[in-house]
Amino acid sequence: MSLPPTGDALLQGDMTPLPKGGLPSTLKAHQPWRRTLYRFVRNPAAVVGSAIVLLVVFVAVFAPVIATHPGHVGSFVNIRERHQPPSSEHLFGTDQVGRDVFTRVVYGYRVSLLLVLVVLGTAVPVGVVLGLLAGYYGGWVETIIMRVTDVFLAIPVLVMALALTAALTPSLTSAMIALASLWWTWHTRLIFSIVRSLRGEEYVESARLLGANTLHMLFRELLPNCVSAISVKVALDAGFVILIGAGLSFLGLGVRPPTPDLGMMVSDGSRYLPDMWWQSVFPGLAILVAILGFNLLGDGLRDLFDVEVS
Amino acid sequence: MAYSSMLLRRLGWSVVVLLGLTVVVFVIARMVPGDPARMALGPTASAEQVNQLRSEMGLDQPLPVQYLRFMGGLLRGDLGNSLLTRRPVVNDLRQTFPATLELVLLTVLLMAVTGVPFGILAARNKDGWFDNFARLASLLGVVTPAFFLALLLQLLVGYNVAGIPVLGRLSADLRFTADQTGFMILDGLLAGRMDVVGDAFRHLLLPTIALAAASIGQITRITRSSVLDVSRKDYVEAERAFGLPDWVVTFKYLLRPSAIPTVTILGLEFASLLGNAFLIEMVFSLPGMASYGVRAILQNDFNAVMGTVLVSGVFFVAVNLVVDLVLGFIDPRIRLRGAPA
Amino acid sequence: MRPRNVYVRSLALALAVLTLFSAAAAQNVVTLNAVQIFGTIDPAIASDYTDYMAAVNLYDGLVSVDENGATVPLLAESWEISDDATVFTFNLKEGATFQDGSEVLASDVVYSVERLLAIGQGPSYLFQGVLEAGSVVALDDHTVQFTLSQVFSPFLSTVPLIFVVNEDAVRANEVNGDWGRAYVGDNSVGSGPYSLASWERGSRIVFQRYEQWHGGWHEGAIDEVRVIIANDEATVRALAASGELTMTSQFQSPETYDALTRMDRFRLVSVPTGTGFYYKLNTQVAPTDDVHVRRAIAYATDYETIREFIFPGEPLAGPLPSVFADQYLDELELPVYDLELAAAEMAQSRYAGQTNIPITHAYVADTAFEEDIALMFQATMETLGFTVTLQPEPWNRLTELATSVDTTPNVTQVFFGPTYASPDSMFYTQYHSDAAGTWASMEWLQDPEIDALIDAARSTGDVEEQNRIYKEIQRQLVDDQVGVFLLVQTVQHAMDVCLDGFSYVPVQSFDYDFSRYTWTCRE
Repeated sequence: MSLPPTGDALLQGDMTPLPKGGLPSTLKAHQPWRRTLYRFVRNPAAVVGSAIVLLVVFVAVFAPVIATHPGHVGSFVNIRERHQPPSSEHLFGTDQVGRDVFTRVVYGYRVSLLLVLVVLGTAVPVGVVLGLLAGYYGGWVETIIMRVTDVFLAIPVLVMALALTAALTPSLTSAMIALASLWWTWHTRLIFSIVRSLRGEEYVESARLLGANTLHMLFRELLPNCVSAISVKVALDAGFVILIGAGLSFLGLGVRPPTPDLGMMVSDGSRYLPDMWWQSVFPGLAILVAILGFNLLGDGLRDLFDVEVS
Repeated sequence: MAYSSMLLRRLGWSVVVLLGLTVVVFVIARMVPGDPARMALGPTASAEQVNQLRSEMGLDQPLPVQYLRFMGGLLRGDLGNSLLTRRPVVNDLRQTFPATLELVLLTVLLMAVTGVPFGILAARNKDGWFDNFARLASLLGVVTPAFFLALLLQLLVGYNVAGIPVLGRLSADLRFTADQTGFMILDGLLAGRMDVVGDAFRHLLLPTIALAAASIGQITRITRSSVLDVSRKDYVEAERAFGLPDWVVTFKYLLRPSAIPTVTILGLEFASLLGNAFLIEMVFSLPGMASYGVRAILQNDFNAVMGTVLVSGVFFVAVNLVVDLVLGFIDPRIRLRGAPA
Repeated sequence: MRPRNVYVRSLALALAVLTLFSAAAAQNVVTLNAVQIFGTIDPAIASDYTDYMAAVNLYDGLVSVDENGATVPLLAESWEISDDATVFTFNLKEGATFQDGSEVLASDVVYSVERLLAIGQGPSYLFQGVLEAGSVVALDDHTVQFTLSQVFSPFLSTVPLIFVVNEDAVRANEVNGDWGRAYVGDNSVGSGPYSLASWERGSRIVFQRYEQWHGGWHEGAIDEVRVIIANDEATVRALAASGELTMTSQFQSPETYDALTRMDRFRLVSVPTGTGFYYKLNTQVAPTDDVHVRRAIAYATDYETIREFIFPGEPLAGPLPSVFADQYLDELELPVYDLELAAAEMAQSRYAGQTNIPITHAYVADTAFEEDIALMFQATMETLGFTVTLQPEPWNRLTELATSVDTTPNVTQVFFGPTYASPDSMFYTQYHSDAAGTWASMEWLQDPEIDALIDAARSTGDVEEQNRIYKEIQRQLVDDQVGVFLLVQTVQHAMDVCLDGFSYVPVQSFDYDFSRYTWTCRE
């Protein structure tokens, strides 16, 4: 797979494009981080994206402090305060049993980020390892791994995730399992194509001739060249995981009540449109902001590292 | 010559993938909670009746045997009966799939007709106001969850503009069923009912926009960047220097190479539309296969779940196959090498 | 740039053109929504409110029920009961026809009963031990005789649920001895006021008026009934706004009723009923097997808030709503909401002083008001030391969970109304051991004393005795706190101001017999 530098990166003033596949690992260790950081700060997408992501993470981590009514997160009802429009006391209004929407949105970010951490935290290492193995060994190892990948990729993610989550009885855990068991496939495919294109490189050959063992080959020579592609993909994936997770809970296959979940809040609130619009709109905007942040970050990183992730 | 061998190979792998798909679907269906025999007979049936149905359905056999029965039925075109509608899943799918396909096809049309031109125009207007507007709109389209956009469209447009309906496929008082092809618009045309055609279009307006938004954004961005890449190439510069008119450069020399990433992304988006269709159909209450599937999943109707996932998978694989073949046709490198780059 | 203007203009033009191509029809059409699908249109298999809605419109029974619960003639114009109440003879009216034009004869009635008993589902459970194959004979073309195997005092009130099918039509389409199930599942073969015009399973069903219905038609009768399956509030609201909906279901949220009545086209019709809304408490599984826990739950329920804000209804003191005036136990006290008394009951239970007591609470998924009530339950019970697991389930999964005592949740929100116009319907179906394993009997009561009382009431013809027994049953059930009695449903529909004719009938879904409705506006 070819990896042309994107036109924008060239025009952004960096006159020396990085060579295909990144720098050789031995040289890379000596390159100053400062140059990367310099270019990062000049990239508007990366800056805005990381700012948003940091904000989201901050809100999620410090939820108990930021939320105005932390008690409304667990089993709490106040029927007489239901359907209150946004006001100074309830920034985003209240929902159908009287809980403060702002508080639940803030805590909802926790669920979203937890989902991202767990799903990507398991899927990425598994996918990367499998991709390395498939790309390095080739032959029947490659065939088996890649064909299994193909089967899993043959069904749209949402459909598979829906079926799996329902089969495992809906809960946050089953949604995590369902998504993680599908997500590794993309990383496998990505790493596989990078490794395959690197197999012929000189430094790889020379390392092998010098007697490097498999582990060294995989993790010291091949993997570092994939890091930039992986980081771009992870950033973009985070947004995508949130998107699909929200879709799943919108359809009713996520957390059990009363845990606050953004997709579920949008779905619950949709019953009361158009009058009590705040119940759906604010959680929806929150989802949008999170996805926007990760997307911008991913785009910025992609421009930065000059990689192509299909 | 290499093309036909590539075609055969891709076809072969598709079959293997589909077989693997049946195994996955079968395993998932067996994991769904609930006793299918009990649910088929209803609450008033006796224990003997339930047990009898269980052995008729082969549920007391070991799993590999059940799988073979399932495959046998599949090859005969028998996907079992739905627990909710009490009739063959194949019939249900035959009724609902065209509705989903109609939505998806219209969406693809919208995507191609807006996304590609927008991308080209943005590239040519680079850094101008249209370019910035297009990039912003694309970004918003990509990051907005489809179901949220659907709700916003309902809220802002559907409830406020009288002529645009918020739900359903056809107004109830038009008394028409799409029983020929399953496509409301096509059947309306075939029956000469222009009122049906118009009404069906208006019902599909908001769902199509909601479904297409993310893809249009993606396509615009990809088209834009690939056009920019190609136009930077030396030979294009040379053509311009030689005085070839702009439109010749655009249509004859730019489009074909920049088509490759565009067609790739169109193919990928087309197939992934099916996933988002599940959400859109629920929000707009469209009686398509996707909402049928969601209801089946929520109600543990496992035959219907298997059928829906299988059809989705086959559709996905078929579309990817077509896209790869089209790419092979456009890109001689693929044709000669026998595989995508 | 040029291309953009072209886009905008052609889009606007297209929209304008398309708007021209729409028409409207004019007939008396009623469109209503139902919150669950129609499982079947076969009257021998009907089991829930939508199934019975189809049955009562597509088919007729020998008799029907009016809004006071009294038996009125339908296909039978008169009947005689023997002195020992075991032989019922019905005289059919002349000239009643099925929808295919053939006459309704006594042999059709006999066939319908045989079919119902043979298939063994739907309303057949009501006749177990009462009717067998051969119990029903045709004395002549227009006279049918039922001989009961034992005295069954509510029998006449169960006769409306024997719907008559067209024997010739069913036999002609029978496959492998299936009693025509496949055919009847897709086609209407009855004599009812409406025939099946179309059915898109899962989304809508349409009934068309049968002109030659033997019951005769009045001015303003409804020509067409469309039932759209929609249980989410937004869909209902949108259908109402677009002019498509004439009448909502009875299960919408208060916000939806508000929104619709604000539109001039709709009015709110509120009618008290005999349907109770309960927490069914599983008396065999911990912790609800402890009577003190059950009483604690009853004290911990905020009845007024529920009735005022979440779902409207009248207070309910026990398993029998007061609409059954003669059998109602007047001295029953209304349940109270008192958290201190609840805590006191917990102190007397075997869980005194414990925390994290697990308890499950199930309700029908996607039903807004049931979810609100479940959340209230969770919030309150957790202050009493319980850990509540909420179980939103689709209806068919709930019915499945109800078939075994171990899978039945501790607490389930259930609406139960009389399926036939007799208090026996309230007691037998819910509390008798023989009726165990259905969604209506999730208490798993299995109490021989109660069984004996119910049987005694069924086998005596003496009305005074029956009333006395029913009152005793209520006393015991309330003492034992077999359920939490939330309210008696005040059925609410947002209805088009031009639609008239709804009144509550104490038989499930008989109030949706559209031959009783009238369209009062003139176009």
